[in-house]
Amino acid sequence: MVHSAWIVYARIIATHLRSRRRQTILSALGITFGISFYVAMVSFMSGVNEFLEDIMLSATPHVRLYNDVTLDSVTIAQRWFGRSAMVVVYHPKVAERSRAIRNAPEILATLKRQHQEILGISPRVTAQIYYTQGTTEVPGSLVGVDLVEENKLFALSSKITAGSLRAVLTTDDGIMLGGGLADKLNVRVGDRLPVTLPSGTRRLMTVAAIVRFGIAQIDNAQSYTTLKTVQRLLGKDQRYITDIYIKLRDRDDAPRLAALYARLFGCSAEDWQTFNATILVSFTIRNILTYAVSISMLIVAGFGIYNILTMMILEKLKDIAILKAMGFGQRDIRAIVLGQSLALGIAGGVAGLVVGFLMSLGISRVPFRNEFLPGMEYLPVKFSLLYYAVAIVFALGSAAVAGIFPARRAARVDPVSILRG
Amino acid sequence: MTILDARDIVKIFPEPVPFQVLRGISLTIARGEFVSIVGKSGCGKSTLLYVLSTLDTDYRGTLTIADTVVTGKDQDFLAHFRGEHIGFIFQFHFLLQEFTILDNVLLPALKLGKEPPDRVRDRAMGLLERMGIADCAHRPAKQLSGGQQQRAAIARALINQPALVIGDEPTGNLDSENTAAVLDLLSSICRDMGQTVVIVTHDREVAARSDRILTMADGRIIGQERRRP
Ligand SMILES: Nc1ncnc2c1ncn2[C@@H]1O[C@H](COP(=O)(O)OP(=O)(O)OP(=O)(O)O)[C@@H](O)[C@H]1O
Ligand SMILES: [Mg+2]
Repeated sequence: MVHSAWIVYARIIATHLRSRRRQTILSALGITFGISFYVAMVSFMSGVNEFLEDIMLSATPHVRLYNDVTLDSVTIAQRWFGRSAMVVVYHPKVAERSRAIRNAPEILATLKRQHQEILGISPRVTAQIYYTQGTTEVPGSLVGVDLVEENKLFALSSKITAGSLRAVLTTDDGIMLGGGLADKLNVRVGDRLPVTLPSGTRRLMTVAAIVRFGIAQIDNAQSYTTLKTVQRLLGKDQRYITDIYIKLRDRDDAPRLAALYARLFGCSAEDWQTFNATILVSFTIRNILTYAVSISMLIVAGFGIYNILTMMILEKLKDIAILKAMGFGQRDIRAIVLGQSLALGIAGGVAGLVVGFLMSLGISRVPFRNEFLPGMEYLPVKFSLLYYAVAIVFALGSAAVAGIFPARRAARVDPVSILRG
Repeated sequence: MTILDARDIVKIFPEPVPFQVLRGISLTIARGEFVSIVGKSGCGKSTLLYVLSTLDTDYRGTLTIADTVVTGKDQDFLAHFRGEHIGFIFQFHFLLQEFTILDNVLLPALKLGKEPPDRVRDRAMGLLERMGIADCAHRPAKQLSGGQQQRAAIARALINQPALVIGDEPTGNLDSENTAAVLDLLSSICRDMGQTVVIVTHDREVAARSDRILTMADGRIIGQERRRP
């Protein structure tokens, strides 16, 4: 007969809440406020995070393979003398080692053939160079890529603000200059631009396009050209590849796969989470902030519910005593008061979801343009059912916590002392 | 057959100074009996009824109702037990003020959940009819007069057809016509349904309608008068 008991509870809950309409609405509004704020903030923050993440990943791969040039003389010595020996190396120096990945063409072939988890691969050759303009020298890098493949992975052509990808491919020694660099050097498409290698080699390039990713480190320092151009500039052959950029089907798999590739191919591998760690930390901090503010608001709302329930109990002591005399046990009274609390939580929470959704919709209609953030026209908002589910759980949770003490208090009311009058 | 058996009930109020209200009350009531309790104001009648109705659990002695020892049982058990076996009419007719008269009468039955809602609804309307307040069934309790509320409280006490009906001056606010109607109803449920009624009253005429009259003084039962076997 649990079923009929809840029908009776619902009737009592409804009648009691209706008899205190104003306070009921006010305390439910507290929850509405907290929940709508949470929904709007978390949707907005996640929208911003996702937007920045997309920008970040528009220029960086999920996994990058490269050849790490570090001082590993100690480990070599250790390998020779054994683990128990103490090895001290005085004045270690980096040997003239190639930055190229060993057996890069074979690795590329294997990845393409055997790895279903990969969406695309782009080999690169990077060279540290100086861009020279008159007497100024700006340090930066020149990246040789398979432009067609790279365009598929990172949508290069959508980020070109002047010139075209085609022009880079067809112009002799044509380069695609980073937007920040173009500003600094004050050059335009069609201009000639001399570059110098650390070795002293100089070459005259032609600016065929200008590209902006919205990431300062890249736009201010990096330019693109074909693989062959850089290989020739460095005096290397076609096997000379310094990095392999990999895009995965599921970017969350990157850390696991990076470790796997490093093991398989004997090179270094880095996942995007690792080389963007600082940005990801800022996402986490933003999230913590959102949750901290929302939870504090819900605590305040919870106090509102606690207050009205406590007041209602004091006012309805007689009713509680009568119900007890008529066969309602402590359990029933507890359920009724908790039910009142949850009813406030549900009503306020659902209203909060609606208001939160409308607020998110409003935010997503606010125009926002910034030359450093290409592709943004309105404030970014992420609409996800998950946030709404979490929000309603929050609403019910805070209502339940707020209801526990009043419910226990009501259940303990001694009917005789009240009915005596 | 015994419906209620109380053994050496002692009740002490500790505040403000320890005061023994009930001084060892023993009494046995048979099924179908209509018992009235009389006595001076303040002699402990209401206190005894609260103990007998299981609402007050803070006493010494042993109480057995419907072959169940209720002394020492936990609150949730007692609440359910009350719903099933005991109907209580308070001295100051307590209704849930925001609920309609009909809802007040129905709630104990819906809570017990033993019968389909339309059946208890029919019975509730029948009781309100006999109490002469059927036309007020859908009005909130707070709009009704004291006498009307008291009659609704009697209907509520009877809705679950409890084996034991306990009333604390159930006719205290009623005129002679309504008093007669209430007494007719109470005697008929004893006679026809085998239910037991125990009431406290100040009214000699009311007491005269019962099977047995117990007289209380100073926390003791000092005499009884059996009017019918
Ligand atoms: N909570 C309490 N604390 C202390 N003493 C109490 C308390 N409740 C009642 N009393 C005392 O117990 C005695 C019996 O009270 P009770 O209400 O049982 O009397 P009664 O016989 O029902 O009187 P009446 O006919 O006026 O209703 C009274 O003297 C009263 O003052
Ligand atoms: Mg009394």
